[in-house]
Amino acid sequence: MTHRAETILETVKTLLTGLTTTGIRVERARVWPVDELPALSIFKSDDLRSDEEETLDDQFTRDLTINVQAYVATVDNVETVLNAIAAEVFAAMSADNTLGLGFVFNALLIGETEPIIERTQDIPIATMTSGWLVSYQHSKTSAES
Amino acid sequence: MIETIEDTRSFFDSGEFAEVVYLGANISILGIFDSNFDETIDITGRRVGLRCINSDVTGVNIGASITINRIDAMYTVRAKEVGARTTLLILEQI
Repeated sequence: MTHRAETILETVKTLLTGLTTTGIRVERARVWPVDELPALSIFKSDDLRSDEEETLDDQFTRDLTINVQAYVATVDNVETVLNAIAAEVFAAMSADNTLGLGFVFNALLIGETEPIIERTQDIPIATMTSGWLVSYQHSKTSAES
Repeated sequence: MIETIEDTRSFFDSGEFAEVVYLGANISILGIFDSNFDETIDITGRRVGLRCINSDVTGVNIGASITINRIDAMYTVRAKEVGARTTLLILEQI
C-alpha cells in the first residue's frame, strides 16, 4: 500500500514519459541538476484538505498540487520550445481528468509560470513550470485506501 | 607588472595557455578558450568564452563566427567584454 498521493505522482510520471519533445527524460523530485535536455521534472507541492470533506461521511478529500517543470537548451526560440512542451503536457494530463485512477475526481491545470531564460551557457537555457491541481479521496483512517 | 602589449601577448602563447582560432577560412588569431562547467536554473552545461588581445579582435562584431579547431566546434559571438588590454568574447555554440 502506498499513499494515494504517491500513486498519483507515479501515474503522472507514466503519463508524461514518452512525450514527443521530452521523451524519457522525466524524473520525479529531481535533486541533481539536469544534463540531458529537454527534460521534465515532477514535484509534489501542497496536498491540502478539501472543503468537500464535510460532505463525505467516511472519506477524506484532498487537493494535491503537482508542479511539472520543463527544462530546455536550444539555439531556437526557447519560448517556442517551452510552449510545445507545455502543449504536450496539457494533452497528456487532460486526456482523462481522473488520470485513470478511481479515487481521483479531477485533474485541472492551474496555470503556467513565466519562463526563466538564461544565457550563461554556450546554448540558451530556459525553464517553465505548469501547475496542476488533482482532487482525490481516501478513507478517514488511511491515506493509502 | 604588465607594462606593454608585448607583455600581455606573452601570455597568449599557443604552446601554453592560448590556441589558434579561426575567424574565417584564412584569418586566425591566438586566444585563450575557456569552457567551464556551469549550473544555472538546475541545468548543467558549459560557460564558454575566448579571451583575446584587444587589437586582434577590433573587427570582430556580435554575430561573427569563430571556429575552435581543437574541439571541432563553431561558435557565434554573442557579447564582447572589452577590457584595458584584452577582450572576452562570449560565445554561443552553433
